[in-house]
Amino acid sequence: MTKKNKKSTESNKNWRNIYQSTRDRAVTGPARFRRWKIAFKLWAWSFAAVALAATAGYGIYFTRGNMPFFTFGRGGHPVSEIDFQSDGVLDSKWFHKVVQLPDERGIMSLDIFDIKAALESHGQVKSAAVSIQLPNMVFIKINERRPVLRVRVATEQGGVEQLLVASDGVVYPGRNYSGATLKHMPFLGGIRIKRGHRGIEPLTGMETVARLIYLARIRVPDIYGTWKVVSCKQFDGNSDNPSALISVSGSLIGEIIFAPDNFEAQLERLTGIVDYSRRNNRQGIKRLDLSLEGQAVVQYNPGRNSEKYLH
Amino acid sequence: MAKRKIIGAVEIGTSKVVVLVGEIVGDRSLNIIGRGQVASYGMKKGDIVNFRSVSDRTHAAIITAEKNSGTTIGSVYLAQTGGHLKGFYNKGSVTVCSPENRVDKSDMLRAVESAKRKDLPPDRVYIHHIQNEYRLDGHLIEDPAAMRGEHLDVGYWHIHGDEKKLTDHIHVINGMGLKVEDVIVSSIASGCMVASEAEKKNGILVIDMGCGTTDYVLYRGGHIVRTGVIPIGGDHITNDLSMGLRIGGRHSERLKLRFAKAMLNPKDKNDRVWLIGDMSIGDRRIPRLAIYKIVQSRLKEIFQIVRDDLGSTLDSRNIAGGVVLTGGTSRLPSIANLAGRVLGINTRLGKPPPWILKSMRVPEYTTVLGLLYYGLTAQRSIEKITPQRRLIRKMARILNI
Amino acid sequence: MASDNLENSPHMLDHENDGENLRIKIIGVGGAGNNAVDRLKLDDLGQIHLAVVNTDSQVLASSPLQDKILIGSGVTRGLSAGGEPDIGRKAAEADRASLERLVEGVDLVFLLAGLGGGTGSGATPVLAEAATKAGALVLAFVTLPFTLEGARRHKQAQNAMSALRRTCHAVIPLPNDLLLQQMDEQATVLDAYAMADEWISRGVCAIWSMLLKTGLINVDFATLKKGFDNHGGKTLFGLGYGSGEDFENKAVEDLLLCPLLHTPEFSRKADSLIVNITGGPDLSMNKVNEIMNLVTEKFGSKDNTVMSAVIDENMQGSLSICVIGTTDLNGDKARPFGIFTGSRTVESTVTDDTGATRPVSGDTAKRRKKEPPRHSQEVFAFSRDDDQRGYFEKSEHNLYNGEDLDVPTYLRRGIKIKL
Repeated sequence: MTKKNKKSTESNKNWRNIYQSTRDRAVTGPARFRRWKIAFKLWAWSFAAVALAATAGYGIYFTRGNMPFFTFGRGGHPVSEIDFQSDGVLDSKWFHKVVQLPDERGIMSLDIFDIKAALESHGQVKSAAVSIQLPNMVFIKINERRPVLRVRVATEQGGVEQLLVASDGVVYPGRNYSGATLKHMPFLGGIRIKRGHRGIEPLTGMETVARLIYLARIRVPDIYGTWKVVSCKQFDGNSDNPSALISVSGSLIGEIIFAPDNFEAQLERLTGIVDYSRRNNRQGIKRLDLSLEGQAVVQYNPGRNSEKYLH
Repeated sequence: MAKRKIIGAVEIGTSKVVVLVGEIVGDRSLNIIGRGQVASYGMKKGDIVNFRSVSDRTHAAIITAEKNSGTTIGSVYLAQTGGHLKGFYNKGSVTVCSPENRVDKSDMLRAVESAKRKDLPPDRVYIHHIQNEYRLDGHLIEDPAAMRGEHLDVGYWHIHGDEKKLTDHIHVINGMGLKVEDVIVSSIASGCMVASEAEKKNGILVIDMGCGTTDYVLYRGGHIVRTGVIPIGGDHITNDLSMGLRIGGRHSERLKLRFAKAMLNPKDKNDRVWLIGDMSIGDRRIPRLAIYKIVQSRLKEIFQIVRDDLGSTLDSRNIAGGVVLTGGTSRLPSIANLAGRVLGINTRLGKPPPWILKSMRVPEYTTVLGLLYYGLTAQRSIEKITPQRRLIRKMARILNI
Repeated sequence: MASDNLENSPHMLDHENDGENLRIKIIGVGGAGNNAVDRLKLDDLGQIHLAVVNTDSQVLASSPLQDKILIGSGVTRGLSAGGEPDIGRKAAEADRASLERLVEGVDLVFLLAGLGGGTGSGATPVLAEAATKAGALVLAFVTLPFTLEGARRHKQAQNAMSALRRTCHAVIPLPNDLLLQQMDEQATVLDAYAMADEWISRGVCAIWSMLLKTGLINVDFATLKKGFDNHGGKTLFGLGYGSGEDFENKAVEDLLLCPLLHTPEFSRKADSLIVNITGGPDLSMNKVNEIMNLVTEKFGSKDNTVMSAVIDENMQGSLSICVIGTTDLNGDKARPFGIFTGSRTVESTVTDDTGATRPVSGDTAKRRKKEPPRHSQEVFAFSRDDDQRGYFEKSEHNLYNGEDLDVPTYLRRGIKIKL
């Protein structure tokens, strides 16, 4: 074969200069099918290769707790800084109390999902976000529940325990709250505590109660400061029930009865009655019923004008 | 690890499309690992007359061969024939200008360049430049390197073809998504199968008589000296019979295969044969003499044309190896005898080398076998030059793509 | 109904009584053409006029015919065209006026010529053009030279053929190579020429006998003309003859053995077909039907076949079949004839003696005697040169030293194949 010496570069009149196109009129059905097959094979092989690499990487990541692909310098820096942020009262001290971070372990060994779950198991934590910033930082961001009322609950051991109720009905032991915050917080009464397998089950109708508390706190702070107990004995969480009533007992007014809607109007009337009583030097309202639409029933302490209807 | 290379050899013939898948393992062993063959349609006289159906048939054959071998062909060696192929002899001459008049590489290269420097008409392209003998100051020299002389000549046999027809052939393969690695003239492919190196040295004429064309190649002194294509083949004999005996093409093909002979046996002179043989309507008795006359006149003419084409180049003193016939039409009884008479040179039927599978050792496969052989040997030399290409090939092999 | 169409057809009205009025001219051009006309074996010329055209005054002078036209006296000075078609053409162009007069008012023109030479190749296309312009139906019967006469004559014949195909309604070529095949071993080239002349005359006879003879089914001129509507198309022409015992079957067999009707090329069907059967008074309608069915099935389809069956009293006990087919070269669907079709037409022709299907000529007394058959069996085949390539017809020509190698060697070498 050495006799045949074919050089394509020498002459442009060589057959090798014929353009070999693979996309043209000559493509028949079987040929097209074959091409697809080859293309598919190629694709499948590269896909398999990528998948294999990904699986291997993932495997190393989880089994060895050490991913050589993503380490910088020596494998796994220890966590050196934790950035803890909360929109409430919890602080990093609390965090360290509730979450035990492994010492000396590389940052990649942290299970941020575990941490998140551990944080969220606390009722005070509404939601927690945990993130890692390589090489050695952990970010924790907490969204806390706001306490609305206090509640006293009998513990299983027979004692009594003071817990807090949030607006979503979750009952939780409060942490890190200042004494002042809790001291003026009324108690919730007239409720039935149910314990499920995950602790005390959230209470119903607390949004309505929380709204009343919220409005009272900003509209009638003076009166609110005298409130001691908010009773939901006659309120099951259904605001449409005509017989539903929320009663508040306090030091200024023995008992205030609210209907579970249109708190603004009721509070307005409350202010009006209290002002009126003050102006008339009538102290010691024993019972005030604001639940009746358009009117209020005021019952003064005995010895004075015992009862009065105000319009 | 044994090197394993896969190539495809495709012959788009007038009667059949044959695809062989060959594998070369290591440096020695050469295996045919797949074969695909379908009846050809849309070819006449070695030319494509219906591009669509030729594509269909060729692609079907390639797919069969791939399935058969369980591999995927990466590149294709393509046989080329047809009346459009022409050749000419051209000599390149240079004056040796190296010191001491010793021929060196650059002189030889210049001689080769000058031999190839011949323009073709606009629609023609070169297919092969085949190097012939070197002559140093008129003396025949095997290898002039480092020899002393003044004038260096190198002879070249150039084969060129019609650009459009070649493009059509190549595009049939391209349509499959395959690249044509090399185009090889059918006669050369056939020649390297039935002629031994010694015969090539002593001089031998190989005539491959196919269905559409008759291709010949003349070797002398180990070189390919002449090639040629006569666009006459077995189809012509069938057609001649069809016209001469007034019978349909189907019948005449059968009659040819059963009764045609290049030389008449005297005792058959008044014999008649049945056209169909079942004495049905339309069956009739046809004189053997008529068949013989038609066939012989055609065959004689083919050999005469070969003789006239070669002219003085065909000299029995220069062709000690004789004439070798191959190709499907060479199966006609006593054809070698007739060829010998017309050409005046001892003629025999070609035999492919014994290492080839027995079922492939028939004259019809000579071209495609030669093509594969050519492809595999050529492949070997290419591999040596470009190792990185080998790596890519190896990768592709592993992925089986 | 088809016959309604016919009655509205202008052609039909023109030729309502065309048996009497039909003007037929047979014109021989050049030496071979002149010979052919001279040797025409027509006993009763009747409406047929014979004429010869030549550049060579000597050849013209030796012709016994009255109607002689010398062309190109200014070009050749009364000598032959010397084998140069250009001279032949110039001569014809120079005397175009006289050629036009020659074909003026003629309905059917037969042109007879030998192609390959000067006058035949050069002048015939000019005459054909003039005749076509004059409104005649022009049918050319031409012989093609032997391969052994050389490549040049062959080429000239091919060129003339192309020119004729453009102008004539049908060109029926007769390759001399093929003629030689039909002759016995000792036949010489001269015999072959004589044979060619005779076959031309038989071809001509077959056509005009359709028009002018009385028969079971007659073809009128308008129908014949429609059959040749496809200008430039391939023609197919075959004759079969049978006599003696079982003559009907012999004739059919003979036709089916016709060399060119049986090449692979011709097993294809013609776009339109004209079949003529000529038999003696013993020809039965049943037999005609049978043959017609067989032939139409073989070469065309019933929808586009025009049939005629002619009675010739001298043909008692013998039968000849003539098949003429035309195909459309341009691939346009041939206009369907839809006039005389199928066996239904055969019946209606016999019973219905009105309009188009009426026998063409009332002149039953003028029965023309057909020449007695020389051989008990004879096959004619007229074909275009291309048809000799058979299977390779559509492929490129395979020229080698001026010969087309696709044409069987035995034909080109004059080797006779006896079947």
